[in-house]
Amino acid sequence: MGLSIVTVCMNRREHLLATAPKVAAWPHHGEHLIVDWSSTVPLRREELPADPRIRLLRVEGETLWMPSRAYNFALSQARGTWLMRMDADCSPTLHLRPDALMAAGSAWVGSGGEGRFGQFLIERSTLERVGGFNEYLSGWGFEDKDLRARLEVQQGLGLGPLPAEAIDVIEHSNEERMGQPRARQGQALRRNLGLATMRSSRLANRLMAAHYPWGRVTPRSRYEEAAPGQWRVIPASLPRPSPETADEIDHARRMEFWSCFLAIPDVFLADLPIKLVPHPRRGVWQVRWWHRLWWHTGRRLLQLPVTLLSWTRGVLGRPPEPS
Amino acid sequence: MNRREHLLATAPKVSAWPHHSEHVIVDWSSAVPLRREELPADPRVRLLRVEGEPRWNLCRAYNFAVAQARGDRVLKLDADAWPTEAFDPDQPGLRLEGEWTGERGPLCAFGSGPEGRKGQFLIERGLFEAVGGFNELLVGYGFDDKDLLARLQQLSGEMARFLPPEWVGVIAHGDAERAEQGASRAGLAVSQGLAAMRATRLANRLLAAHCPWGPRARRSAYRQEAPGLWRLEPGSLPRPPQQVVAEAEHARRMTFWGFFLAIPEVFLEVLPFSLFPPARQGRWQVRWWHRLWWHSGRRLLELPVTALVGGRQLLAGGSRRPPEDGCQWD
Repeated sequence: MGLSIVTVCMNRREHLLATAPKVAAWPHHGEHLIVDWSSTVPLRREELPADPRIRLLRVEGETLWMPSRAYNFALSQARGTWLMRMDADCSPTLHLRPDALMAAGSAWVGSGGEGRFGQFLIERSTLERVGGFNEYLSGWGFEDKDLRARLEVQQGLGLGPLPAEAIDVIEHSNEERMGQPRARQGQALRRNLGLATMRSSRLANRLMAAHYPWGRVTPRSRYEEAAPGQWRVIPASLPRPSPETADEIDHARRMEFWSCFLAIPDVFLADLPIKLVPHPRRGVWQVRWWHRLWWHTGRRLLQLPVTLLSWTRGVLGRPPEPS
Repeated sequence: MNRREHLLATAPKVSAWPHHSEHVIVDWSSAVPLRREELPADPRVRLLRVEGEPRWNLCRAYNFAVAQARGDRVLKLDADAWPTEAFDPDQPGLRLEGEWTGERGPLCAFGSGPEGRKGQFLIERGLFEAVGGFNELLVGYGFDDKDLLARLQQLSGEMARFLPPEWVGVIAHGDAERAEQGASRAGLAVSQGLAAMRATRLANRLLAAHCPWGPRARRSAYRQEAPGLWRLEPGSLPRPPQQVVAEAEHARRMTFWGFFLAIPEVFLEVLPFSLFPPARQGRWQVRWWHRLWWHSGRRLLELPVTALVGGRQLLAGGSRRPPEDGCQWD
């Protein structure tokens, strides 16, 4: 089989049901493997297009979104010699011609905004040289950059860019990306919550990648088939960081989230009772009434002089900040 | 680099250790060059100097030193460390166990215990080279040893062995001195030293994450200008991609000023850049207005936090709680 398109979905039914027909209409693949990563309401085959190239598998028992593990599982189940990652909110367009691209290079990565960055087209053997995704990373962010870095720096591969028009993306906000409701006009707190969640996940995954570089020989999670098309991870096979590193990263994640959300510097946050600024529970930050109260009062008060001073940025010189 | 006092104190102790055949000392552009006659009259001592380096760079300096070393086993010792009498490099427990081409697994043992011992290690030269040595993209204090250790573990699939703490002697010195910010014990200076250290720790983690090092990574090259005198080959210095440089620089700046002045990152990002500039050659430019804020606004903001923590301690019967989670990075 030539090209397998691989999509992993956890509670993104609306996106998937919108993109799956577009993938089915695309003529260049031999298989579209969709993995339902323990969505609360399981995906059903009959909801998807009647395209015989579609294979639906489900991984049971997962409580958190783990794109690295989910895609490693999906890619290992795919049958093609060429592999293409397409998230549930993405679909390939007719501008994407895999034959021509693979004749020119073995690895192509998404470019342009709105989630195109994480998509790729790659030869299976090339992906296996770096062991796929780093399974120590969890939640949103950095698994795609980590993979690219290992392909480029460790393997010395040149990665070609997939042009922006090669991939269609359903636009969505930071909050939605973090599994939270979209913030409407005037819902600054909700927007801030999405940003803080994203930043904390982004930082934690960078730290994890620094502590646990991934490679071809790193042991991956293993899964057992509980029923046809239904899989479950073997718990003992999960890669786990050392308690010391896990503590460091949990601390950094907690500091980053509350510092960004409440605008309290982490040098003070570290001294505050952990009950007031706790760790997330099952990946969800527990925002209480006192956090909201502080956000609407103390935070806004502290922000006043900052806002006034920020108006002088132009006067005092403002080199570009990284995004 | 500029650690003459430490080196002159430890070099005789290394010379007194009987298990080595060579002690390579690299003078990394110290302001006052080390002279051979200052060091013990031990024929095993080889003194080399790298000229023209404006800053301490542990990773590049040790990669250069290991490349110059002639032994097939390497003991990395900082200028403030020495092997004690108890240190036995032939002990079998220092070797890895996995499947290797030779009869025995390679040596790979890292220091343990307090005061910088964790950065010292004994390793088979071939294993060091198999992971490309230190990551030369890391700059300043922190994470160089952990990054190396992580890559060794990734390659071998095994945890490195430990050198018992009593095998390595260390001259004690503080965080601020370690972060090249001076050795003052005053509150503001301690805060500045810690902030500088935190900044490089985070930036080095980000650099290691974005640019995983390996045997294919391009290292710095050096040319010999005179016997024992080396200089970086122009253009050979490895550099991270510009986007990564910008992210690391931003994180370094946010962490330093955020910690030092207790201003959250979300505010620092919108404040005028020129008030909170990046470090120049590793030195943070602390001005009068920073000091003024540190002594006034920062202390004021700290008051409710101190009151809350103090009140909580009183309620808990006066016992100070230990840190609740891992806030100590190195």
